[in-house]
Amino acid sequence: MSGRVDQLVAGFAEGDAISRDARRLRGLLQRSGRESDIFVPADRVGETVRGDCLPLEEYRGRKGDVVLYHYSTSSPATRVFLGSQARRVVRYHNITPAEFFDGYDDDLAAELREAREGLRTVLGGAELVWAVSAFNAEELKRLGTANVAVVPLFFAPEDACSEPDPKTMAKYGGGLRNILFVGRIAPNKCVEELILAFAWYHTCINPASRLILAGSERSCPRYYAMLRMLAARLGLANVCFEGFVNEAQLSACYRSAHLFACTSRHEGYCLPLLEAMANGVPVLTRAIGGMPEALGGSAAMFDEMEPREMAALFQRLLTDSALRGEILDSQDRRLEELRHNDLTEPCRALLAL
Amino acid sequence: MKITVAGKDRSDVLVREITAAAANLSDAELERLLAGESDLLLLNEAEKTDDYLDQLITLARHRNSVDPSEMNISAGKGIVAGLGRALRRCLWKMIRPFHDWIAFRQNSVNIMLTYALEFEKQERQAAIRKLEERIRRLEDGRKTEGGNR
Repeated sequence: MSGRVDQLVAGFAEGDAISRDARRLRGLLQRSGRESDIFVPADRVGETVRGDCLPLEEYRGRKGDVVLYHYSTSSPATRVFLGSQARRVVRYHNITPAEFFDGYDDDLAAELREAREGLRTVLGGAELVWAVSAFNAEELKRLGTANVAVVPLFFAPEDACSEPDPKTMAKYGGGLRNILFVGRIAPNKCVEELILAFAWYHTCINPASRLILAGSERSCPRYYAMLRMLAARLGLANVCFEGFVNEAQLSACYRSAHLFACTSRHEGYCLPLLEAMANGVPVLTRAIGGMPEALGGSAAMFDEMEPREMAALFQRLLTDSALRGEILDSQDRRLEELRHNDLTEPCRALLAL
Repeated sequence: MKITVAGKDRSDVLVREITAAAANLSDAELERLLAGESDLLLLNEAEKTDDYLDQLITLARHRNSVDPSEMNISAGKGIVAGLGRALRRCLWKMIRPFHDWIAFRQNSVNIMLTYALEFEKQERQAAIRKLEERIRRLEDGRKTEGGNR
């Protein structure tokens, strides 16, 4: 069998975890001697990656080929996937519950509801299903899907350690304690909880501190507006909304950070946790969704906490060197595990179809 | 509350220490501001985009001005900090009239923008109501026409 192995994704952009996963898988497939391309709806491709994928309309799935569909939201790619003559594989990245977007973006909420309703049909049309975490796999098993394998996001710690952007390094230097969050600025990330905790930390514990929020604000501008207003009204000039950052700027953000904090209430896996670990930053996150699994028994986690308590925990994690050492050691062990993940194994399964 | 560190449940010690440390955090100004922010955080509860916009416009109307009296010159400890504070107060007094003039002009722009936003929404809603009414009349007319045939 030597057919093509193509991938369909709902959107393709620089810095996006799913796009990066698809790109890395394509690299592995091409190195195995297979022809492989990524197909994306033309209106969902970022400017900087236009030459790196093909328009969805050009996809021709033939018998003997394999097509892998990265599923996370509703997309015209679903129809193309289900109509393909190729052997079909789904890579499930989880669907953010629509309730998070109600009020902020009714159209997007409707899109997410549609994606969840269509999930069963997509799964029904697949010969093999890859979930990026056991958390996601459990969700699929509850829907009655039997052929689910857990294949984590294709991530190598070295990928997250590119050369940092000097301008961003200079911007976030200056001796301030930097608390970092990386991710799309979307309601499921509950960034307001982070801002409220930072308000207490900055006002009552350490005025020489900064909260850096690095991630695109375009996925939910109304939520972003709320966060900007919140920071402005609380007089928190040191909450820095970085917006979308390129690889070098992201690397600089990680290198400048003293603590990575995430208060998200829904994540299928959460790649930025691993990126922070790869850059030697202690991680604090909520124990929810696929995040405990991504951390694999490392870092620091909490369940529920008041903003004032979280501020006290920030202080503890930023100043207690024994605790920081313990966290960093655990993170190094986790990174070692990830380095030994054999990424070629899932590829072989795909090629054997 | 549960806290785990490096895969171990450390709630027994850390929760006690953090709760005690959190209880000592106090800042009257921050508490006042946070109490005022509950209206803003209500945006999270909006069930429809229209509810969000209504709440946002209400907030914008109540918050469209910069109040220079809120300027807080924090006190430090020791003689140097005291002198620094006195100097900052003196500088603030000197620049205050210019600052107030700029704040006045900025507030005028903010008020105009807030009203523009509010009026635009009202106009849009009125236009939608008219269109809905027209569609309803047309549909009723078609039904009657169909019935007469």
